[in-house]
Amino acid sequence: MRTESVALSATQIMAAAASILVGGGYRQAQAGLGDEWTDESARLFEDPYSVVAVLVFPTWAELKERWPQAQASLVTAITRSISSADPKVWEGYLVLLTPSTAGPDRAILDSVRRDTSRVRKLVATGEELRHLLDVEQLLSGLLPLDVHHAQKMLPEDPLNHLPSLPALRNVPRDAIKLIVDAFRDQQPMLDRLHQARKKQ
Amino acid sequence: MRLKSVTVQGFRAFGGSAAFDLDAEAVVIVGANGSGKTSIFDAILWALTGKVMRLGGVDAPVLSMWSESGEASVQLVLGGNGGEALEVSRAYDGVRSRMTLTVGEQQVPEALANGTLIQHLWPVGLNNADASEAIAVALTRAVYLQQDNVRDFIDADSDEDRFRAISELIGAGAVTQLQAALERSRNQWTRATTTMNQDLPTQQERVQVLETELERLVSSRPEGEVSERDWREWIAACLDAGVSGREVPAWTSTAAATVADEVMRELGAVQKQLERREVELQSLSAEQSRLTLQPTMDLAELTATVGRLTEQVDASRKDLLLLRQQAAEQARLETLRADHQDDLKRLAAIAIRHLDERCPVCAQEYDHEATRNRLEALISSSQSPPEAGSSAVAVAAQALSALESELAAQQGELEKTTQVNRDWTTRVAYIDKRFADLGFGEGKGLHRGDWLASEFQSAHARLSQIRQLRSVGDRLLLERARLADSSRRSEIEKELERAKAELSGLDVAIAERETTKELATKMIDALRSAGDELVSERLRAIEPLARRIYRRIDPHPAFTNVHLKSWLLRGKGHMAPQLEDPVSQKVTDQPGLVLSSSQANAVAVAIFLAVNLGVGDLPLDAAMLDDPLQSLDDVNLLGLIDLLRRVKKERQLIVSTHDTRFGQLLARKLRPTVPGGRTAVIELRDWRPGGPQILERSVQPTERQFQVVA
Repeated sequence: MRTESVALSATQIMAAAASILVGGGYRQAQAGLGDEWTDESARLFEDPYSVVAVLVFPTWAELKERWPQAQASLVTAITRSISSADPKVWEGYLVLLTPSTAGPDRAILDSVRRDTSRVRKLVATGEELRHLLDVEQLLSGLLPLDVHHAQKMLPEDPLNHLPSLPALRNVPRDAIKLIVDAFRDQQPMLDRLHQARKKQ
Repeated sequence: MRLKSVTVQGFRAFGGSAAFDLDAEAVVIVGANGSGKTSIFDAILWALTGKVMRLGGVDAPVLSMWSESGEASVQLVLGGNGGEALEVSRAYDGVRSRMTLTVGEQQVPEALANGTLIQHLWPVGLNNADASEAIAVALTRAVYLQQDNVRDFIDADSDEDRFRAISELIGAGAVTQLQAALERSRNQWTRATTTMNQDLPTQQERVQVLETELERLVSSRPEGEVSERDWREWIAACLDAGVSGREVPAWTSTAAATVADEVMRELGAVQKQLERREVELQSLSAEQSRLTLQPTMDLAELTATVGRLTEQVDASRKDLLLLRQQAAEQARLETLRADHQDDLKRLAAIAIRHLDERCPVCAQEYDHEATRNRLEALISSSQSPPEAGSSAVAVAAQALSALESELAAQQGELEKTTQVNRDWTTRVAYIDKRFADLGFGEGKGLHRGDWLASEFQSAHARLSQIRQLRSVGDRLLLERARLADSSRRSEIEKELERAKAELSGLDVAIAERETTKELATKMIDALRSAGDELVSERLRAIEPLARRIYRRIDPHPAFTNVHLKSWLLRGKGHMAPQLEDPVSQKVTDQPGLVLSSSQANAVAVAIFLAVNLGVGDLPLDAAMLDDPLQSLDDVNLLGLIDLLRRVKKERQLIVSTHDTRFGQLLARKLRPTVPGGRTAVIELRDWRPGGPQILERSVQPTERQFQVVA
């Protein structure tokens, strides 16, 4: 169990969340979520798909108490700018964070997370938020999917990738290239290998 | 490549014809179960691969029972990626299927259609032994998540199947093909090297034979010089000795040996002829000397003696015959007399037993004593043999026998003497003839003995000359042969040099080939693991993506991490999805056993999308999900939809659902966000045998991307 320590402060969590969302294509609303929320505790973001409110509470107890109010503020903020006919009016996301732990209230936390009645909620407490990467993972559902990292590690043709494989580490690279070229050209592979060896 | 449109007729749920515009970033297909949603996915798959694996991979089930045309047909249009548009058409009339392919404006011949399609869609698939099968697997594993098989990958498939599927998707099959091709090439190489090795002993033997022959030739160097003059003088002498004339080649030419050989044969023939004459002369001389002893017996005297003796024998035989007749008569009389005497003896015996005072026959008185004496005398009298006649016959017969013996002896002597005289006459004639045959002339006044001596001397002298010539000829021929050997030695020295160079070259070539083979073997062994390493490496590359996707759906409160674990066991690659609880650090290798059905479906979808997005090169830049999630909690469902919203930026997304509410949510969530973007919604309603009622609409992009942020 990893509940005994909290590595990130509320301020750090908010700064991280804002940075991650802006990095993911979101813009931050200058107006904020409303007068009842400070900029340090609540911020409003928007991308072409959705409107996201990020709220960082100093304690779990405060989060548990004030999340309905936060939801209401988000809905108000959305309806103030988006018409009811616009599909985006349904695209509100409430991100509720706290550096403190939920402790025995995990069931309550889970029920908040599962409540999709007005907007979808993403909830995390000190149990989950220990590093910046944890904040990014929580918000990942709201961010573009980075598939290029995986794809750029995958060469188009596996045969071009052979020399870098450990299994072929002890085989000369030029020999691998020769047999791959011969294979592609449908030429006698050992003949080519032999001729190349003789030239060396 | 992305999908542009699909037109179906008589296919599965579509008895009639229906066309669907798929030219959109996202296509949402909504319809009740049985309305034809899956048929649209199947039509796409069938057009591309010619088979629908979940239907058994055979054509029959694709033909609608209510087909209005009696056949099933699909036309699929693809485009994008800057390439030419492809139009694939397949049809099945219940017996056979056919395929056409148009690339741009160019129709591809039917025989080349399938290969060309794969070439355009998935060139890496051509590395597989069965490219059609490979592309079908790739589509069903990574592009089209079938409703019936959502969890096959994590539940039904074995660890090895999963690994193999990933291997095929990333084209690692090419490594296996490369390894197999290299192995085949090495085997052919080995066979060729073995053949070369088999040539090695032959080559070595050739060198040994040449060396032995050379050694032998070195020991047979010419002993003395033979000049042209020696050669021509010998030929001239041979001609004088009776050899027939011929053209005489130079001594150094190769023809000289032939001519010398011919001359030697002729000399041999002359020698034999002379030797025979010499023997015949000697033989005749001996015959002649034996012929001087003539037979000495007088034939006339012998003939007279035989005649005289013959007459004496005849007379003696007559006398003997007369004597034998007389002896026979005398014997007959003697027999009669003896019979009479026997009778008297028997009567006397009877009478003596009956002697009385009176005669028992006539009762007269008689002299009893005298009678008894007389009777006893009769009884005791003996018969004397007639000797005189038989002894005369014996004497006469003996005399005759002696005469006959003498006659036979004289007759034999006469015959022998006659034969000796006859043989002598024949011999004389024979010797005369032999003299004539050897050339002796009677009328020349020569004495036979002198002639024979003279002829023998002449023959003997010639024979000596011939023998001398043959001896010289032998020496010439030997020298000529040594000259040939010398020439041959030079040739063999050159040939030996060549053979040694070839042998050495062969040795080097074989050694070099063995080195190449060893390198190939090393590569083959390395390639066996390289394919698996490649898959493992790619799985490691995909895993973070899979983890991010899984976390977005977030189906389980504790197992929030997914791993794509891979390992090698007995040289075979294995792969299994693992779930991890990062808080408790518990791990399960069998998600299906710890998750609910809907949660397991969510894991399966996450892995499917990770493979789809992470594998890189796929036959279609699309993700097709046929009614993927059912009974999932709202929060997880929203997570999935939010995920799909991000997926559609990377892949053309085609999602179906039987749930109208979910369909509306999909349409809204997957709406286009930029001008020119398009999301298509296809609603299938009121299915009838001809097909469902089709409603198509496009979701328009919002005018302003940002509204809250002013």
